[in-house]
Order: sequence, then C-alpha cells, then structure tokens
Amino acid sequence: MVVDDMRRLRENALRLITALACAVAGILAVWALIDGAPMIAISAPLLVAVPAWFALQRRSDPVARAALAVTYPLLAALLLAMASTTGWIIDMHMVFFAFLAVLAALADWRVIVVGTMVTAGHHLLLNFAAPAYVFPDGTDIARVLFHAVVVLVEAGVLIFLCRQFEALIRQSMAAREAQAALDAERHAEREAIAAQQRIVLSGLSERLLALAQGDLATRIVAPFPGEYDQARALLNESCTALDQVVGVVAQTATRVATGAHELREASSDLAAKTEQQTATIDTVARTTGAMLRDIESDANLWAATRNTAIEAKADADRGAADISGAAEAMNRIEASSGKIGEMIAFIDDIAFQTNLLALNAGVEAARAGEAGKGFAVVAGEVRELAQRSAQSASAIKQLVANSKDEVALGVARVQQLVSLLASLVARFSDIAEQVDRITLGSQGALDAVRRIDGAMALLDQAMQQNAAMAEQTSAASVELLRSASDLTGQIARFRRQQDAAPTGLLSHAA
Amino acid sequence: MQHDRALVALHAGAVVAALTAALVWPRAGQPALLVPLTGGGLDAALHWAAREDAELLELDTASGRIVARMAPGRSAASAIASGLVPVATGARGCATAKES
Repeated sequence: MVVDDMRRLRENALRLITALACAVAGILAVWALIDGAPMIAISAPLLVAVPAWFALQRRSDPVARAALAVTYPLLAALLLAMASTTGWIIDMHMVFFAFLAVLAALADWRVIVVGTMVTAGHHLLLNFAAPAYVFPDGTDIARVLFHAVVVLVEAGVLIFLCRQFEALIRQSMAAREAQAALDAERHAEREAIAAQQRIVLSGLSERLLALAQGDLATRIVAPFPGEYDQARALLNESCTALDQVVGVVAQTATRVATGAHELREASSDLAAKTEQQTATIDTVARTTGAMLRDIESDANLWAATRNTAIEAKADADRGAADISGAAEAMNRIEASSGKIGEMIAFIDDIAFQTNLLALNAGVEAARAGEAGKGFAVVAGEVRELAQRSAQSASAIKQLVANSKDEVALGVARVQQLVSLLASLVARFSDIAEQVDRITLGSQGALDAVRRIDGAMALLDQAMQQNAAMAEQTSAASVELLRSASDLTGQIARFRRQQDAAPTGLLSHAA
Repeated sequence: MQHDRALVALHAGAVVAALTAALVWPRAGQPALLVPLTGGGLDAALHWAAREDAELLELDTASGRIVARMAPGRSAASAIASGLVPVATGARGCATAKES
C-alpha cells in the first residue's frame, strides 16, 4: 500500500496553517473586543471554525483546502480592517503576501489562485466600498493595481512552485506506486508460486510419508503445476528404482541368509575338524619332538661311536706299530738266535776239541803212569766238562733251535697279527667313515626332523589360528545371519509394487 | 456530503460575515452610512448620531441619506440596537475628512 505523500503533506500543512489561522483569529477576536469591533470579534473565530473542523478531521481534500484558501485572505482583511484606525494599515498589507505564501504550504496551485482572487476581490471591493480600510489616504486605483501586480507576481511564483512541488511529489508517488505495483505483482507471483509449492509440497509430503511407512508401490499420478512436475516424475522414478533396489536387496538378503546359514554350518564343521586336526598335529608334533630327541640321542651316540672307532683305529694303529716293533724284535731275536747257534756250535766245537784234548791228555797221563795220574784225573775232569759242555751246547743248541723255531713261529704270528691289525685298522677306518656318513645322515635327518618339528609347530599355530578364525567365522556367520534376518525384517516393512493392488496410485490433490 | 454542504454553508456565512466586517462595518472614527431598518427613519438616525457623538458628514433629507463619522472609542453596534444599519462609506467621506 503506497502512502499518499501528497495527502499526508497537505494534511499536515493544513493542520499547521489552520492552527496558525486559529491563532490569528484569536488575536483578532481579542483585539476586536478590546477595540470595540464585535463584528470582527465574531466573524474571525467563525471564519476559522470550519477549517479547524476540517483540520481536526484530518481532512485535506479540495473543499478543506478551498475553505482555508478563502479564510486566510479574509483574516488578512480583518487584520487590515482592525489596523485601519492605526498607522499600521500599509504595513498590514504585508500580511496578505505572507498569508498567500503560507497557503503555498498546501502545495496546491488552486489554493493560491483562490487566495489571490479573494485578496484581489477584497481590495477592489474595499477600494470602492471602504477605501479607508485599504489605504490610509483613501482610494487609489494605481496603488491597488500596483498591489495587484505584486500579488499576481507572488501568486504566479507560488503557483509555479506549487505545480513543481506537486509534480515532484506526484512523480515520487508514481514511482512509489509503480514500485508498489511491482511489489504487489511480485507478491502475487510469490503467492502463486507458494500456492504451487503448497500443492507440490502436499503431494510430495503425502508420498514421502507413505514412503516413510514403507509404501514403495504407490505413485503420484496427478501432475504438478509447471516445472514442479519434473519433481513428481523424478520422485516416481526414484520410487520405482527404490522398489527395484529393495527387491534386489530382499533377494540378496535371502541369499545372504542362506549363505550365512551354510557358512555357519561350514564354520562349525571347520571348527570341529580344525580342532581334530589341531589335536592330531599336536600329537604328531609331540611324536616328532620325541623322534627328534631320539635322533639327537642317536646322533650323539653315533658321534660317540665314531669317536670310539677313531680312537680304536688309533689304538690299532698304535698296536700295529707296536706289533711291527715286536716283529722286528722277533727278527732281531731270530738273528740273535742264529748268532747264538753259531756261538753254540763254536762252543760245541770247542767242547769237542776239549774232549779230544782231554782224551789225548788222558792217554798221555796214562802213559805217564803214576806221574800222569793226577793229570789223568784233570784230563778226565776236563773231558767230563767238555762232554757236559758239549751236552749243554747241544741242549742249548736244541733250545736255541727250538727258540728259533718259536721265534720264527712268533714272527709268523706277529706278521699275521700285523696283517690282522692292518685289516682291523682298515675296517676301523671304514667303520669311522661309515659312522661319519651315518652321523652326517643322522644330522640331515635331524635337520629334517627339526624342520618337520618347526613346520609342525607352525602348522599347529596355524591350525590354532584356523580354529580361532573358524570360531570368528562362525560368530560372524551368526551375526551375518542375524543381520540378514533383520534386513529381511526391515525389507518386509516395504510394500512393493508387485505386492500392491493395481489401484496403488496417489493424487497430489487427495 | 450533507455534512460537507452544511459546513460549506457555515463557512460561507462566516465569509460573508468577515467580508461584511471588513468591507462595510464602520470602525470608530470612520464615516458610516446609516440605513434605517425600522420606521424611525431620519429621526432615529439623527438621534443616534447625537447620542453617540457621531459627526454628521452628509445629510440628505430628500433621499434620507445620512453619513456620520463614528466617534472614537464608540462602536457601531449601538446603531443596530437603534434600528440602523451602519455601512462604511467612502470617497466623499474620505474627501470630507481630508478637507476637514
């Protein structure tokens, strides 16, 4: 609503200058009563009564403005009349010009015209009826004309200003009215848009409410106004897509539930089997450990055996060396026995010679008779010694021969023993090598068993992890099954198009 | 509309009264044509002028025209009470005043 600036301006101006007129009328009344002019004392308040009423009624229409336009010059005329007996009569003419200018506050050129006409009429009438009221020197048409020219010039300027002012305000009002009309038009457009939006919002709200309640089957059939219909089409397409998605999800949920059920059973089986396998692997691991310990013990034993064989070989080597020494000693004994036999043969030869000498000495002693008897006894003794030496030498010879034979036998035995020891040393070497190979093989077996043991430990750990994973998988499958069940329950909330009756259609106006 | 007409009529009355007061109502010390309303005629006017010390400026017994100058400090209202209508008059009075 555009505020009428012109009306408000004139209303305020009318109130203001009416108040001024009332003040002037009051002064006039008092002045007239004092000066014995009851007609003026009565007419002055009476003159402003109607304009004051209009002002109190906040009127500024042409009637109110015309009343004030007539009133002001007459107030000036009454002032002039009151001043006619004073020396201020000429000065009081200024009030006409001032009051005419005051009327310009109404911004109405017609008021200026009326005021000017009343002023001019008053002066003309007064010039002829009571010239003393107009000019102190009586009638003066030239002065009247001069005043008229001044008034007309002032009125012309005021009329021009009023028209300019009025046009300015009219333009301002027109601009404001145009703006108001534009605002009203925009408001109407907004209202129309709001009405359309309410329709759209109602339809969308109804559909979204149904959608929130799980109704995927219903569609908005009645078209929305204007471009909003695209929203309806999009919502319907979205509902269709959502319906399809929910269908796929429902199928997937069913499959997931089935799969989760199977997975739970498989997980349970896997857990049981894993537990069995874990127990088996544990047993195998313990067995492998025992075997490892046995193999380690065997390896240690084989190592000890190898050392023993090596030591035996060393002993045999040393025994062979000793036997070789013994054999050499036997050889030397044999050689010594030969030399002893030679010596014994020499001794036996000496004993034979001695015996022969003794025989010769006895023959000689026997020839020497008595003188030779002693000698014969010595010769007999020497002979006996020679015989016993021969016998001893024979015995020694026999003994040496026997000893030689024995030594030869011993040497042969020693040689055999050396050969035997050599063979034994070779066998001990073979045994040591074989024990080495066995030890080496045992080490390889030990490493293999250790690796098997480590692998079994890893396998055991893995099986325990598998068991834990199987339990987790079982728990997850249970949770998955529960989730699938919940999902199926949630999906069951939706009423899908394939479940709906053919009348599942919505109208946005419904 | 009726209300406006009454107001306009009232204002018109006020305008007439004001014009009357401004144009034809004689002020003290100003010449006034005394128009008798009652049958008293010329005598009533002369009596009033004598009573109010109004200076007679013009007396035409034939036409019954009496112009008197209102005494200073006196009101023309008393003329009404005497059955006379005082009407401010001009040129000759002014001329007379000048001459006097």
